[in-house]
Amino acid sequence: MAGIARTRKDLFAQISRRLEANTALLERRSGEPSDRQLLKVFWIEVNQTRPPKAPSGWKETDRRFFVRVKQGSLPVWLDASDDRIWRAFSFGSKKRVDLTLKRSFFSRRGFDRVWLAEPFMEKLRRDRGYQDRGFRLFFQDALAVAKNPSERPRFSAKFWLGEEIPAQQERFLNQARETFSKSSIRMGRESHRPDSRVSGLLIEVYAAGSMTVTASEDPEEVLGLASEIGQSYRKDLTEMETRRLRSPRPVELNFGMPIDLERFQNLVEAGQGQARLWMQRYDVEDGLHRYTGVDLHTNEFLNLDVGSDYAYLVTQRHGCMNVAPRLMTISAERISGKTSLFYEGVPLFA
Amino acid sequence: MPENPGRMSERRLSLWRRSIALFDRTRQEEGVFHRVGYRDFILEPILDNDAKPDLLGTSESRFVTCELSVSPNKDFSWFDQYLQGGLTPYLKTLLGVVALESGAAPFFLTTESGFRDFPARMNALLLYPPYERRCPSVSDPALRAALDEWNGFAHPPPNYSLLAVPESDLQEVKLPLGGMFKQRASAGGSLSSREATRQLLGDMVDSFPPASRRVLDAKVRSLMEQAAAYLKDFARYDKKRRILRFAGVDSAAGRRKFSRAVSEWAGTRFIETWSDGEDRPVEEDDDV
Repeated sequence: MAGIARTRKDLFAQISRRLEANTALLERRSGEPSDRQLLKVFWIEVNQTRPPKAPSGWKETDRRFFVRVKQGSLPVWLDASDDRIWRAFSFGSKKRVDLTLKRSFFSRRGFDRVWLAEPFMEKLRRDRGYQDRGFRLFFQDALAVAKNPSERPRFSAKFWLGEEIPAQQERFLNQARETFSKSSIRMGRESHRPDSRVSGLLIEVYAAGSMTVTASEDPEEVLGLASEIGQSYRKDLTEMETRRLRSPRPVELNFGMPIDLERFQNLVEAGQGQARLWMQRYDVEDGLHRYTGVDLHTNEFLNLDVGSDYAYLVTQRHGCMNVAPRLMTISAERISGKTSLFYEGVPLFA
Repeated sequence: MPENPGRMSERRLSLWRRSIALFDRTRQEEGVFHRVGYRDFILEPILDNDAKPDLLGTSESRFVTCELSVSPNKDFSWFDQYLQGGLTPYLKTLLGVVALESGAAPFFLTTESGFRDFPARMNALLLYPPYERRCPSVSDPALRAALDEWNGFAHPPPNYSLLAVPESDLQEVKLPLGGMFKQRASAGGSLSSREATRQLLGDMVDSFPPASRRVLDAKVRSLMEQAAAYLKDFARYDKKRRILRFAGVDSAAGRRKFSRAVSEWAGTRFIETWSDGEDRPVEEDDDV
């Protein structure tokens, strides 16, 4: 543990130094920071009835602050000070950190990713006044009928946008923006220093609940953002849960493209797939398939009505609503089209 | 256009869902009361004269009460009581209002066609085609206009957490019960018939009298006992305590096996399926 930050204060100081060094490196144009120099932030949705304990392999070094050190990997720090949304920080590769968090949390009951649906990410960019620096499309059709995964449709594309885009390319980009769901959004701002040659901030926010910071001249802005995204998400979740206490009104999902209802039934009735739902269809009324079952994230009871391009979700009273943005984000990728979430006709997470 | 279900249980289930949908809005359609501001609703409220309508709907300045029934021979003795009832301080606090005036005389919401000898001032809506209305006593002009234009429902309403009613037959109870078994098996534990009955009735549980709930409970008990034979690798039925005890099923393979057993019991088709994993692939930071 020697040399590894053991407190939040130490970690934030280390993050500041690293971000400043990255910016200096970019300014000198002597190279770009490597993946091991970029800060990754992950958010974890926690639904625990008891105060959290240190998960296996994690050491509590400060109050509700944990670190995981494994030989050959960079450390991962976990700030569990909020009882609903935890934050993990690391300079390790995104894939490895994701795997670590998956083993420690995402595959366990009571923990889930924070699902930053496209409207949520876009709102963040707008509210902060950040520039559009690009986006990624990511599609894999889990509802496709081909049994062999290599035969199922999938594609991904990423666009790094500069200040000027030729008109011909812009048409294509705009069409892509409007047609497909985005699995990540790149955003940033100019430097406050007139002599600077690099962005004052450049980040990429992923729908699966993480953020990578490529450049930042103001570490406080980044740490503030890490906190603000978690709190804003928590606020949206809590608001939905409070509404559910008052009435059994559904949260409504709208799919931009029709879904394969039979394939959906096969997956959720067998309890398979990334939506973490295990359900039973009990009725079909005018094309609306009605299901009841469990959200495997919390083991809570759940009712879901699914039509070809919309769905109604009703959790149990006091139920966790993380299933709503999860379904929204996952279905957006699976159909590669826009999905949106509504309550009483009003958009949510937007 | 949807037809009025032939079975009493389906009609009752549908009546509740459609009644709530009148005070709700989805992207598919907007309920006639919701359209003119009646956006809050409370099921089974107790008014200041102890009257207990099935549903209270409120706007920012007015309220309406509703009685739901699939019975053609409904006793309308509740009408005067509802007509005279007002909001208790508790209801006002719950709704966040100081005072509300009545927007209309009580409504009778039904699935039965052909309105009969109703109290003269009672309002009534038929929630299935031909979507009849009889609204002689609506004091809220906006509501009166909306009711005049009302065309019924174009889409099936959301479930509103109601999965079955006491009149539901065994097969209708069986399928949602299968979902409950999955829920309980996912972490292991026991499920009592009482608990399952409450889940089936959802938020409307208190709208059904105890005797009616006991009818459903008896059906659930019988089905649980029957299911235990099909789920013998996963569950045991304790007849004395009327509970089904589940072993935890926490793997994808276990869920598949359990699901197959539930399908066999329920007499539904189970299709072997495949998955692309329990979690999404990680997107690399390839932008360095």
